[in-house]
Amino acid sequence: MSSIKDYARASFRIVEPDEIEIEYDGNSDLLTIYINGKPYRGVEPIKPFPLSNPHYILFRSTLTHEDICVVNDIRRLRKEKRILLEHILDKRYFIPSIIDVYDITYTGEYYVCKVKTDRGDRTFKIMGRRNVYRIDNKIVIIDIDENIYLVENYEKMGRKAKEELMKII
Amino acid sequence: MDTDLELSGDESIVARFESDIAVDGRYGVSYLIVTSKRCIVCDDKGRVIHSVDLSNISSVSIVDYVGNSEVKLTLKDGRVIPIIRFTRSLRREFNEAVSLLEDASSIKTVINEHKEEVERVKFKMEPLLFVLRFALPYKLALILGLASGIAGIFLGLLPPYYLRILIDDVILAQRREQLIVIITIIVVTQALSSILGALRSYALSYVSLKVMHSIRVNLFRHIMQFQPNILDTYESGRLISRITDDASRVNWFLSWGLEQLLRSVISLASVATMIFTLDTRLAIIASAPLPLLIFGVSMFSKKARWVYHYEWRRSTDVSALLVDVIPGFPVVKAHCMERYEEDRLKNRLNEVVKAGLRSTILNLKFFPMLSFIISSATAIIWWVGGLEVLGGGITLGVLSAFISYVSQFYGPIQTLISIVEPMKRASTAAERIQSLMSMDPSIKDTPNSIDLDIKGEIRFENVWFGYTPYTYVLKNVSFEVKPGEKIGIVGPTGSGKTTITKLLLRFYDVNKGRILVDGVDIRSIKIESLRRQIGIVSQDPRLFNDSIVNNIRYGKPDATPEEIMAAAKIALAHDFILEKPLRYDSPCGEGGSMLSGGERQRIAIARTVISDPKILILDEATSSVDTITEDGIKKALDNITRGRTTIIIAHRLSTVKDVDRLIVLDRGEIVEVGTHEELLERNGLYAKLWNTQFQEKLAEAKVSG
Repeated sequence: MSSIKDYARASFRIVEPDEIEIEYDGNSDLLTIYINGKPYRGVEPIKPFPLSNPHYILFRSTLTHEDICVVNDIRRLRKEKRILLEHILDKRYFIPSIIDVYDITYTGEYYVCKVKTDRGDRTFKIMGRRNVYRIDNKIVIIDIDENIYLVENYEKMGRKAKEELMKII
Repeated sequence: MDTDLELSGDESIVARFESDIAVDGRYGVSYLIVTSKRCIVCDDKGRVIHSVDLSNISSVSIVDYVGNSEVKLTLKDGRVIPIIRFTRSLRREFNEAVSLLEDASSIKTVINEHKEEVERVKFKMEPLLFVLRFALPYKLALILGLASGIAGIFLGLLPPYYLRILIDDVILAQRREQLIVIITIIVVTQALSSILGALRSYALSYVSLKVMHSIRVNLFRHIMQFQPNILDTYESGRLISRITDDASRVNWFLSWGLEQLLRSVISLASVATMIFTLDTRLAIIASAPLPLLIFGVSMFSKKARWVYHYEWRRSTDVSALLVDVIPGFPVVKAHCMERYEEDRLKNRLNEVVKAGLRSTILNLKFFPMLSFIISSATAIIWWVGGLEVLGGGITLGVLSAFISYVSQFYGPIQTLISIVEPMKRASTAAERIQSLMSMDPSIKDTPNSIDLDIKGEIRFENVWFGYTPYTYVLKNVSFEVKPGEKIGIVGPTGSGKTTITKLLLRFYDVNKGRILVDGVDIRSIKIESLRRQIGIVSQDPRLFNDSIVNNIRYGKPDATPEEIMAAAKIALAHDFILEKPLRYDSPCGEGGSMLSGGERQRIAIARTVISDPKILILDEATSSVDTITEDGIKKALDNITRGRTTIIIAHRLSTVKDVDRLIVLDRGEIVEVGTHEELLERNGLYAKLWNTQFQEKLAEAKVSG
């Protein structure tokens, strides 16, 4: 009888920061990774838990759809590896963090949200509470065009921003 | 019950069961008494009708007739004696009687259950006192709120007193220098009163919020102790209403109602003292309407209780319908039953309107009359008081102070009357909460229940079970599953396949017989220990309105990210999850509405797989996925079912043909057991079902091909 623990161990190899080397292939916009010297080409880094565990990375082959390995915490990688990886992940996971809320107005059909994000100011529309959900203190907002915004920590938002957010949560 | 029943020296009564059909066959009373030596039946006068030694009884049975049933004893000499009849309302009680008579070893258990029942019934106190315990942890805040409210009452008595001084001793006496002093006192009094008011509001709001939290958590925790069969007694909408509506009504009483009641009583008493001190004659006039008001209130209360209860029941009917219909929205649309459902809702809403109008009419019969009586009394005081002032009997200041006090006198009376309605509502809500909280889960652990590390052996021994006391769904079912064995249970719809899994999970207890896991009766195993080690994937899995990762983690709260992904991989869910924008953090929607049927099913399989169950039940688990996905899931499940006791329930026989053994059920009975090949060779029900499905597949292939 194979337990889930055994199956997990066999299916997902956890690599330590020193065991992995990362190279960016500009032609394919993918990675070549080396685990203890063994190369794997055409690898895509994936955040399986982009909100609840954003530093956990799964490396997956785009050629064989094989899960090659996982890195438990991207922050433990050496600086140059981390910067390279973050650069690639940045466009794959464009989830701006909302740092302030100017105004949220209900128009009768949509809530129009005017916010300040870490990527600049933005105005977007949501239908209502079904477009907003919470993970602990984080608030995830998906607008009508399926863009995703994140409030990293509701409790740490300013008073005015909290009051505005109360209209939609 | 007086009886001519005589017991021998060492004989004692073990249990007594009261029937609702008398010995002459009319509605009435008769008794079945089980002693340590005999089975006795008495009539309502206590005369012994039957007396049979337990040692002479070979078996006991209940025969169901239309509208009533009868207990029959089969004696060792072969005679069958019908001993007592009862209506079907008492079927459950007499099932216990039969079990008691059949199995001497169960006597002790049943006696204990009876004792518990008696204790529970005796455990009665006034519902509002019962719910008062929720406020006890916040007694300091409650006392602060009450104390500031009461202090506010006494402060409120001061302004009319100073009004008299202001008019008589300052304005009319032309004492200009006193004016500022009196005005300052009035302003300070009002300021203090406002501060006390704010303190009271904060303290009582604090108590209110805390009490609401406590009632809801306690109710939820209590409901969670029950098994799914509680939904046979309460519809889910009604349970939700207990936690939401009833909790807020009781909360209002505990935080605000009680305070208003106390404040009004104290205020009434203190204002009465003041007006009697000022002018006895006018005070008597002011008190004259009181008997009429008290009589009116008591009449109103009697009627209001039933009217409000009726109104509440009508609104919960609407909630229950909505809770039932809204999740079934696709079914309604698919059957074009929108008008039908609209009519059903309209009918129930009409009932709400009627009930609401009934209570409005009741209020209108009472409250305008009350206002008129109070206004008339005030007018009379003005008239009599005015004459007294003109005649020099009292001063203008006294009359003004008196009128000011009178407005404070009727205020609490009006409050007392107006809180009758919410008090009644709170009282009925408290009654319902008390009745739910006093209910004991029928299936629960005993002090002797054990934790068992399950290996995976299952044995059903002569199991009889019915959801209602009248009809058995399983009849004398016996089978054994060895550890690591994979069996399939098949049979026509309604043959009792799913019931077997519900009994194994102890959602219900068997009526007769027993179920053993690793040789231990499951009633002796801690429910949590049993269920943690049994995993089930059902036909229509329920996902929660949460992220995919949290739905999978439901099966193992401390699962690592790798275990979560591994479980999803086994269930062939990993790839489609990674294609979603938020991957494993993607929301599932209410009941999994943001996922397709196949996706829901695969996440449910992952949720079960991750818990690493010792016994795995797949109850039509792949019926909602296409055959290609089903094949994939079957291959993946092979990894996890290998060496693990697995019960697969399937209507589609191709799903189970490769299992170690097949059990064929028909109308609650096992009719065949064997491998796929053996059963085909036997040419019985299984072969018939197989051939029918094979022919259907062939026909489908011809049509499509």
